[in-house]
Amino acid sequence: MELLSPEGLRQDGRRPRELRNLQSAVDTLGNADGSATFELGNTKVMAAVFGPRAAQGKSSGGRRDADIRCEFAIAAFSQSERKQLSKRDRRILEVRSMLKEALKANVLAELMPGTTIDVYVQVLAADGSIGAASLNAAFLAVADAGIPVKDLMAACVVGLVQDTPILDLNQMEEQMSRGPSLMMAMHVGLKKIVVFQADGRMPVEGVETLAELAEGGCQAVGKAMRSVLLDNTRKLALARGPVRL
Amino acid sequence: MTSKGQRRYAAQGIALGCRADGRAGKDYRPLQLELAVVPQANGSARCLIGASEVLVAVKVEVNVPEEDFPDQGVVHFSVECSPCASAAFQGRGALDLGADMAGNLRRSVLGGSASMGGSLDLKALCIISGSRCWHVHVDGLVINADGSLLDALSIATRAALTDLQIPRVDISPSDDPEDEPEIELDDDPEHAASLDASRIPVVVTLAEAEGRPAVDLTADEEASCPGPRVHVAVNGRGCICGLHKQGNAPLQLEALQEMLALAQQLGPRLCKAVNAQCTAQLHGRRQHA
Repeated sequence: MELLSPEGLRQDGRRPRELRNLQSAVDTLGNADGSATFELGNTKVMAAVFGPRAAQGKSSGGRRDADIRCEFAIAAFSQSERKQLSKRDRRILEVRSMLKEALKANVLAELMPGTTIDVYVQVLAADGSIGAASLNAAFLAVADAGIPVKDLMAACVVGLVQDTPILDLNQMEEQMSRGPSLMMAMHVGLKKIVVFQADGRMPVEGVETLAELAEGGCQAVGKAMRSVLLDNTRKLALARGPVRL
Repeated sequence: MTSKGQRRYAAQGIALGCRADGRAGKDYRPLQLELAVVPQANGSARCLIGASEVLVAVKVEVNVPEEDFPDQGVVHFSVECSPCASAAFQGRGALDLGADMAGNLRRSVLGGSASMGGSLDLKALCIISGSRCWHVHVDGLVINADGSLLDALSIATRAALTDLQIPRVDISPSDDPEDEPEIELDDDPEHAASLDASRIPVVVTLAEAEGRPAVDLTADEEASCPGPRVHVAVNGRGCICGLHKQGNAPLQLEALQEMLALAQQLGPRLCKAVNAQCTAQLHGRRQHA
């Protein structure tokens, strides 16, 4: 099956450089200190942040920065085939360590010595670009928890299909595409790359095209996330009433 | 909430019928249901009771039936407590709770081990007697924990099974009569069949506060009432389909009878509320299509 029609449209009708319908919300869960959901088409991820709270366990007691811990889970029903992945599954561990490293690069951990920040990410519906959606949800939850960060961080996935760079791969495109794919996360204001994970063989020139497309994707996702965070802040400010100094 | 005074205040509030959020002892918090929330599943529902939020998704697959019941389908239950739901669920903290609730759901829907007297027609899930049947996976996920999780899961299970669409199968006998016949799935949603979920019970969890029965405790209230907990599965006609006492606190027989009477009164009301929300949403979807 061809992933790109002769007219240059993808299976789901999108143009090559088009994102799926993006929806996100913050403050979605009652018990967590910060929480968010992030939807990209039929991919839906929720994230919760507990902390910063006093460090638990001996090892983290004397630290000079915050200890960021991550857990990542994919619901059994979220994929097209029902599959229960264990916490020790390679795919789970890979995403978990990516989330942890990316958040470490973003959170100003040195401002919160002797604390622990727990970030839990749960995939509710999986239709491609899970890693990027998870990182976006995790970042929104961290921001909702009021944890200081360097900059707004956004992620997206790009790939090369029939020599055409495409943005935001869905499940079918991820599985059927024989071309390379790239997941990138960046600080959208500072324009610095945080995560750069490329799979598959690609020509050196191709890297640049893909990276440029990914940068555009990250900027677009970042813009949407920014407006959600601003809306929430406005709502909170209204609820709080006028500030008297 | 941890102090002794606060716990006593909450317990007395329940007993006197005037709780922190203004409810009486036998009042549920507002119930919200949303069907078809997971596009990857064959049927799904999200249920909110107050701040408690759960998701139940049902997926079906063609597999072999159990040896002892060749002409019946198989239904599996599992419940996962996401660490997002509560700080208490991190690590391996919620494994037992999830397994407990899955077992409770299983017993309330299927009845005994042989699934005799269960509320689902398992024979309807048979495709070819002895060789092929539907396996139905009912997966629950706790998204936010604020008490009454099993009640919410049972309501979502009933709604998700109402929403369930089983694809039509076309059986064509293969050329060699020795071989298994070929099974083809029809993806057209117009041809899909639904399962009769009208007899599935909902679980009413009752607690005892100073000798009075109460339902739908919030997480704070649960911490304040250490007494016995009774899960009663009640169907739409008020029949009791299952009974399970949780915890090791002792329970008086009279108290149990009082609890059962309350459950019998509340069960049909809950079922009615679930039905009303399901019908409205299914009807809306059909009109939309």
